Amino acid sequence: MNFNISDIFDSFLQGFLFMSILFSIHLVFSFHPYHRITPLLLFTSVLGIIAITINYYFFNTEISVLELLRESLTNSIISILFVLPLIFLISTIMMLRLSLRNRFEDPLLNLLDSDLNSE
Amino acid sequence: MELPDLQLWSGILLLFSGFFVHRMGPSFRRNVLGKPMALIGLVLILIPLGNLSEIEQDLFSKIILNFPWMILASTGILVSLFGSPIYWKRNTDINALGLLLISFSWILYLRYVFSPNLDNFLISFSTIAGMIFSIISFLYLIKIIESNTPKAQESDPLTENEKKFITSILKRNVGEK
Repeated sequence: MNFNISDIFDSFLQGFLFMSILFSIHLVFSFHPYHRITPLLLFTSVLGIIAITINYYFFNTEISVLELLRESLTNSIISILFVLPLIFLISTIMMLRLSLRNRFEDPLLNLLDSDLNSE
Repeated sequence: MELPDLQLWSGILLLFSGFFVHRMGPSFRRNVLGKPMALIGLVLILIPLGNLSEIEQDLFSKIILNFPWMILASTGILVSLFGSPIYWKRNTDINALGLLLISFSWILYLRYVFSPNLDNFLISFSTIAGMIFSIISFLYLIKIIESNTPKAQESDPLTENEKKFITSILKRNVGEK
């Protein structure tokens, strides 16, 4: 794979675009009457359009906007799948700590036990 | 973009939207539509109706490759949590089963999925950096919009009838001294 610095910016923008789309979906599907989603949706759309424009004019001029969107979403989901084992590693360590922990020595509880025994 | 590609993207949309719908409401009463939506989305993703285009095929193959270990890992974590000590009482068998499932999922991942590649690593981390940057900008956006929201007007004082009504409820529940 020929890898250069523009690929880093390209994928950075793809991640930004993916999260903008995800945030818009979140705003629409978690709508409730006390939630002011209009300004948020507007700003999110503007940020998404800026990300698409920069990506299209500077890094991917030879493909269509729809293709750019599809590629951005695909690469972002693949990146999440690539990083997921790190989250799983942290979860595994937490599960092991949770499973192997023992009851700690508590001087106050020991005192209570000795009082009960003396009675 | 053909029909199977549209199916894949609709599945992904349904999966994410199902998750967001499920997060609505208090933790003890989640929205009933969330889980079915996510499940339909998962089915649409995993069972394509025909041949996918190149971009979608790449995504589909990565999802299929990672799906077994992810399912095993999430099941293992859930089972392990069920067996973990609560008030120092633990269910050792269930806990051990959970840890066993987690171990199997690690074996699956390391045996069939794991392929160290510095380029992939850098690209993925720059994508994740983009996501984190966008989350931070959205948080700031929410902060700005929330701080500019006009405060609600003060409510009118209670009328005599309302005062009597509330007093009667309090007397009935607390008791008159």
